[in-house]
Amino acid sequence: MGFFDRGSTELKKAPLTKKVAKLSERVVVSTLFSASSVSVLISAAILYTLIEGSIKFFNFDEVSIWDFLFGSEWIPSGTDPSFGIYPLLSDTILIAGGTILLAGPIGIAAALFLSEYAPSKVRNVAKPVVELLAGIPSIVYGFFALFTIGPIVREIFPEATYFNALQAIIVMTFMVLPIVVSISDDSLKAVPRHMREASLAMGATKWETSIKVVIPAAASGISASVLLGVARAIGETMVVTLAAGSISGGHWNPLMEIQPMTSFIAQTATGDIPPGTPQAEAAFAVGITLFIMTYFVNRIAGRVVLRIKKGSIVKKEPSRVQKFIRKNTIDRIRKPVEITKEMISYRPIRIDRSIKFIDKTKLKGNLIRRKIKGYFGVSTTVLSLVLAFVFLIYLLVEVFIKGAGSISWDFLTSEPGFRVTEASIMPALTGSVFLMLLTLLFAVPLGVGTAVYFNEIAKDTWYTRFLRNVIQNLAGVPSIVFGLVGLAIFVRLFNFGPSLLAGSMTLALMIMPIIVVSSEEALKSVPQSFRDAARGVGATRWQTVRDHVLPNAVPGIITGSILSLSRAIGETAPILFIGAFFAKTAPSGVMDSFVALPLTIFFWSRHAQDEYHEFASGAILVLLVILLIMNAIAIFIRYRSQKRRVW
Amino acid sequence: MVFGFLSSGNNKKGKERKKLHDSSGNNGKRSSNDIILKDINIFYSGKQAIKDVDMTIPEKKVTAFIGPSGCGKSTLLRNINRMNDEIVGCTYDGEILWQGTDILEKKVDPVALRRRIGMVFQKPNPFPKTIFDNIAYGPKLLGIRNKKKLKEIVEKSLRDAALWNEVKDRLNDSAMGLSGGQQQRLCIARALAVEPDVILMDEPCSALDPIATAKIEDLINELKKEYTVVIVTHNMQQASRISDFTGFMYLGELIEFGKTRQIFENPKEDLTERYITGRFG
Amino acid sequence: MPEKFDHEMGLLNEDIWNMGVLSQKMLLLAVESLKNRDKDLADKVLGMKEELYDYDQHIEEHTLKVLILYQPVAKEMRNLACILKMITYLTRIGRYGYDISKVTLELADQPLVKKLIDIPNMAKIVAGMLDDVLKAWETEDLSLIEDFTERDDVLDEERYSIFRECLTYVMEDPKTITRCMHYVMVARYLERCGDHCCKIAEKVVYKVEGKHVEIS
Repeated sequence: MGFFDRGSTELKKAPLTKKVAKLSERVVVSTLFSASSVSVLISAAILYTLIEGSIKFFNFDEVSIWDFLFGSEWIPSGTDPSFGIYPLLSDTILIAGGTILLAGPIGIAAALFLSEYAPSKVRNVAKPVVELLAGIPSIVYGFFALFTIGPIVREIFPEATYFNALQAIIVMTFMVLPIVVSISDDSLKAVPRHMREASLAMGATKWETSIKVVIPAAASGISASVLLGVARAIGETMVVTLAAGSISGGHWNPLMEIQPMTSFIAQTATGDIPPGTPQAEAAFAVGITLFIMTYFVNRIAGRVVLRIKKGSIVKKEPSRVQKFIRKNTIDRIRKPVEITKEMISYRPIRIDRSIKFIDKTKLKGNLIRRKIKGYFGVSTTVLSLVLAFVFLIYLLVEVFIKGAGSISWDFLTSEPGFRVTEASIMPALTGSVFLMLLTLLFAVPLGVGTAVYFNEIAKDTWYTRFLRNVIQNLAGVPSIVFGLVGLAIFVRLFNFGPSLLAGSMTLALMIMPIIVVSSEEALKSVPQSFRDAARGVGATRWQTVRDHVLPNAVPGIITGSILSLSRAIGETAPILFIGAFFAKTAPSGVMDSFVALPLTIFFWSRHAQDEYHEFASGAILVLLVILLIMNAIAIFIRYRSQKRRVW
Repeated sequence: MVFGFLSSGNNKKGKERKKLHDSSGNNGKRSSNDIILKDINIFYSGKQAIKDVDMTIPEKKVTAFIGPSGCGKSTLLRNINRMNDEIVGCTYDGEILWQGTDILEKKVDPVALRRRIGMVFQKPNPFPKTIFDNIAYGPKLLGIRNKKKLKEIVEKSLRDAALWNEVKDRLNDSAMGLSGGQQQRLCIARALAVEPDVILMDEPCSALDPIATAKIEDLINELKKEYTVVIVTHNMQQASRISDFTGFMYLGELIEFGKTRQIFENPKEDLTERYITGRFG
Repeated sequence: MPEKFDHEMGLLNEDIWNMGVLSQKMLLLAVESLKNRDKDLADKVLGMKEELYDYDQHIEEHTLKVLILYQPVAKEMRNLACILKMITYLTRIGRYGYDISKVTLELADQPLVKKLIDIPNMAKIVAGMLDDVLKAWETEDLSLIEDFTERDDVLDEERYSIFRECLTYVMEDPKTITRCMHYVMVARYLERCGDHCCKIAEKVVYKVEGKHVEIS
């Protein structure tokens, strides 16, 4: 026997035709497959909820589809209700349009500064700070709009009502800003360097290059960012519910009270409307309208974003549709260019430089003008970014000043009494913690399983492409729609009632797409060579994933999961229908009713007594601290794993 | 090329002989339009990329920089119109004298400078606009708004770049639809539109096929009658075909600079000879 | 790439060297046959012409091929340019050997005017020059061809003295006219060969130093 003793191994005897993959592996793979397919169920649930609810709504005698679509009055209550969607729609458009009118230019300018002018040190600080704006729960924005921006607005415009569209728009501008900034920034960054150099080398100033070359080249990405911002603004619930009022307008006046679609849906949840009436079921019809709107906006934007990610920002090839149109229009009109002998002879004619078009005497003044324009432009971009910073700092300081006073040990831990002074967030705090843990339990296995299936096991078939599409669409569904789904499916259909279980499942539905995306990113960061190496020594697909991919992706997956949980804990709209505002004790079981921090904040903010507003601030402070801790943990894990990473 | 050189060597024996032994440089004559580089040092975030380069780029001639990749020839070229200002962490010292000014001085505005010293890049980089707008971009920046005048500029620039006949019927089509060679000539036309005096070319043919390359080379040959052309190329044959003067650079240093024929026929430095005969490293 | 090029150049250099040796041999054997009135030897030289022309043609072909395929520059280019010129001169020299052999055939049946001393002497000088210039070409040692101007002058003088000598013979005895005319021609050939060697030397200087110089 030689040094390499190959005589007596078991492996050698195994016939090549024998399948290595055992039954257990097949079970695992099919489990993963099922996990990924759950998203289809979720989508089906959403459609079922909305359609079923709408059918119920349209079956009421007082309601007709015609009136719903084309009626111009929305009076859901009273003896003679009228359900014309127009006022809700126009209010939604007013809010979303107003928001994007502000957030678009500010966001694009800030992105321009970040990508073109900011030194890398500034950029490294500024971008996370802007993204911090996205991490603040919408309920906090709503509170800020009502109690801080509101008085300012009323001071400037004395005719403004207590609830008005403008204050919501102002706050939502900064909510939407991170979306616009980060996607615009990505697409500006994706503009190839040589394009900028071409412009600079011709004697364009940096500003001219930015405006005339870089922005047009990134136009598709920028418009996608704006569209995504619009989708976000359309779907936003809490800010408008808190700050914009509850009277549907259709008057296009931002200084008056309005009620967009989301706000109406939220209103049906807050108990002012008796269930079983057309007024309550109208929420589903409004919900489906909202769903369709956001679906299309997201869809268009998503396609553009996908194209940017693939790196083809400058389209060279016209699309099939464009080709078809061109073939049938322009090309028919225009004669094909005949190639003449003259065209083939490319020999340059004598270059005569005595012909001059440029008047050199005027160039100096012209240059000074252009430079001033440039300085002015760059200052605007800086100002946009500064504005975002100021807003963030103002918000945090306000919350802290208002809230710090109400925080005490009793406020955090004692059981709330009935008097104002006995307010406590104990039930909400424990409710939120339980909610979070349960959500984690439901969402993480589903999300990670789906991600593993997509990234490691699935082949590129029509079904996986379909699943991907479904998940991408789920990520864009407004949170209030999930609230409706939770209500219809978990509370009513599954008969869980307004329980912790129903609430956490609803939240799990909402954050699952986020966990999928972040987990996939973590999996993708594991080098392909690891997989090849494992497969090369004969590991099966699942063995490879289990032993080599997952262990290396775990920090990333944990980070992503924590971040999406922090999103869930701050959400109000999905559990608006399920949470019990008046719960005085911590939930004792999964079927118990519960209240969560954002719900408490919402409830207190709408309370007539001013003291409760202080308590709301305190609760916000606690919520923000919790979010901060969660984010810090996530960042710490990411940092540590990146430091330890050896590849 | 080699044959051409041989026969010409035979025909005008006496004349050529004298010329060959002339010292390098612009036949001794100095013009203020020459670009005189003095002690140029360029650093990328502290690392020296160009070391003590001294040379005179003569007016209305084609000057080529050759050398292995990473030797700093593009870096040096980009300093002539201060494109290096746009790169974070790039610093330089020394002087570049042109028309009586040191163009590296802080008070010289790179924006104004770049109109006078245009540049063409390695990859054809038209803007994603129409052919017309690509050319008119520069003049518009300079404040020309008159449609008729713009049209004239576009036509003249395209004619000068030998592209007019090929594109005159589709000026309003996207420039992205042109072939690589046409795109590069469009970029040259675009550079010509702002009436520069010097044209820098950074490997303008490296992304093109031989036919397109030949067209660009013809164009360069024509351009040098009116413009000073500085070209970076990694194609030695190209340098020998089109340039009047050649500088060989290695590891950031200008090893040898002289008339192209001298560099390729009888290089003074062993390093140059080893490089051009492919016996490097 | 350079390796393949070097291989081609090695073949070419060998051919050139052989061609040089051949043309030198033709010249020396021709003069030898003239001196000894050896018709057989002369016939042998005549037979070498084909081989010489083959070399000329083959080397030119080969050189052009290398030029086209490798587009050499610097010394490599200069060497090839040198080779292209050299083969012409070498052919000319060999060809003069051929011409002298023809003279041998014509004069073989007649007695010598006198014992031939100067002509073989000239041939020796030419052969030495050819030797040195080929060595200089191969080794790039220019000191070997430093004295070519002087050697060429010696050849000129030798030719002139043969001319004067023949003149006196002709004046003494008109019957010697044909033979003497031939001797003068042969001397003239040999002097031309010296010139060709100088021309080759010029090319060798160009190859080595890239300079164009004039020798003689």
